[in-house]
Amino acid sequence: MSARIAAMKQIVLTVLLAASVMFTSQVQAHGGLALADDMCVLTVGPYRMHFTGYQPLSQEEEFCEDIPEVGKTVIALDYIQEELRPLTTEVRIIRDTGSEENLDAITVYHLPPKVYPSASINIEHTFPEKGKFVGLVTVTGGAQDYVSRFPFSVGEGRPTPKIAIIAPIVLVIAAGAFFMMRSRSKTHPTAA
Amino acid sequence: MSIKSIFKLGVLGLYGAAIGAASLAMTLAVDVKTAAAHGERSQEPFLRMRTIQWYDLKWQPKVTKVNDIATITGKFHLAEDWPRAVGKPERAFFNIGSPSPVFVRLSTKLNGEPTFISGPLVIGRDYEFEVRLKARIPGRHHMHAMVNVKEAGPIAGPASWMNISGSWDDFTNPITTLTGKTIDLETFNFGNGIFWHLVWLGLGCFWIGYYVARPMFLPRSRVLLAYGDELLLDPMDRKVAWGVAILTCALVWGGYRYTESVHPYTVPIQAGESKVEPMPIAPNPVAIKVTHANYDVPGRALRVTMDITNNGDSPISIGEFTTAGVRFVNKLGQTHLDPDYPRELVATGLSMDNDSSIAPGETREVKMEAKDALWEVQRLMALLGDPESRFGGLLMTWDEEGNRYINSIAGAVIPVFTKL
Repeated sequence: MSARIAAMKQIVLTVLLAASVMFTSQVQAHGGLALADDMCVLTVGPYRMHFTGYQPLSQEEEFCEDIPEVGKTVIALDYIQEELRPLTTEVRIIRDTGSEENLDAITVYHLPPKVYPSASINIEHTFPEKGKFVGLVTVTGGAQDYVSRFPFSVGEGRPTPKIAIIAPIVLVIAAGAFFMMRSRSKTHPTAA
Repeated sequence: MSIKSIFKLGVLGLYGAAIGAASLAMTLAVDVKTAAAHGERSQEPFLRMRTIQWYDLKWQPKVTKVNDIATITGKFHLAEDWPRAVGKPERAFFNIGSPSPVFVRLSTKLNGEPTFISGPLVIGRDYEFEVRLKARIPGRHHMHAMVNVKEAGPIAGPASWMNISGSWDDFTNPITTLTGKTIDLETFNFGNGIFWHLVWLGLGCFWIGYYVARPMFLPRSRVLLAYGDELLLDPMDRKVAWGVAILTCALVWGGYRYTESVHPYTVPIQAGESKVEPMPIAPNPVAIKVTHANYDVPGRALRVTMDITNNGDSPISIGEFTTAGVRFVNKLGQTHLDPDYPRELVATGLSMDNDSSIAPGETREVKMEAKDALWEVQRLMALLGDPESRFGGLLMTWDEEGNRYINSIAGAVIPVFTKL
């Protein structure tokens, strides 16, 4: 019975460890842009926009954060909050050079400040080659100006889904624990 | 079973409890948010666009104190293009969707008739409703008009936020009974309700507990499978079963007799079927035939091509396209827009290729665009993933005398990336 309790303890610890890996909170490597509640959300100060990326000429799936392929890209930014409608929004995409002193020199795409009464901004740009870029979305006209900065890459392909990395690790740990317990129970058989 | 074994089983049980507690803690830590509304955006777009089509909704007043009266009024049309996959409204019940009973519903009227039971509604026709509510629980609440349709489920209409101030403790809901006695429904016989819940709960726990304590379900099942039920037929079991059966019958009969003696005049809960006639069909000189529709995916715009014929005596102009509670309006529509309608459901991106009025007797091909982020924010274009990708909504036109005409339109939608 004591061996069974020890085995049970191991299983409990394995399950808790695996679960803690799975539920680790998201690291925000993409600045103001992140997946939240199954939705790609761009946070600009207190405001939120729904970010949807399309590359209909090369793939059917929408993307969030990194742009998988070079070429024609369409991004839609939809205001989630009504408060954004009367405000002015400016969009700029710059090359990620590490310095943002001379913005115009490194700007590859620019949408001047404008009010969008339909609450949707359409960005169309062709990325001719791979690279690292930074998106800057500026909201002005309210009590305070807000800028959201999100670095992204172009042409690096689709990121591997987290579950595709985590699931094999969990399976390996579980299988290891199972075979270890089995070999122990064979070596030290419990009294019936 | 030795004390040592019992102890070890107890330890295993503690592990089980620890896993349960850890799971609960993880659930609470990982994903707990305040539910602001009712998840109406996750309701299938074809349910919101092509079944009950709502218009002229008003929530008055939107700010109340506990015990104040508020009303929700409006109209709805049952779309001719009702989806084949959704149960027809042969048995429907008008309801209000709210986060728990924050208001008490005092009355519901459909076309002026009190309606407190379900009944058939007619596809292609319109109904007017009025619901009187009494403010009960303080807070900011998202209040929907709603129709429950048998085999289709609840179909939520647009919602508005309604604020209630004050204290719940002050809420009263007095009514006068047949015998002239005034009671407060909020507290009437509360102790009695608790008492009967406890009685039946206790009896149920005893019944299950008795068989759990005398070998548990699994061993009993194994014995039954291996040796039949002879070994399990304990004379004491029979006595207990008879005792519980007699006690249950006695409680039901005694409780019924007692209630009859205390409350001799009662009105049973009403069943049957409501038979409310739809609103009369209003004269409508406008005929519309949808010939093509597409959705510009990145542009967030529904584009509809339709032939509109004006059979009336006065020129008509399009002012509003409303679907799933979202009102797409142009300048004309804005002049008729209720300023109290929830701002988050109004889009000003309605435009036509030709803004001039359609003359009497004229048939014109009109290209309409309804453009706004609300298509995505309200998750209405999820319909593009449906096996039947069709849109639906009410198109509103006005003649020069200010008369409004409403046409329910529908059609297949094709997704496009027109700017590429």
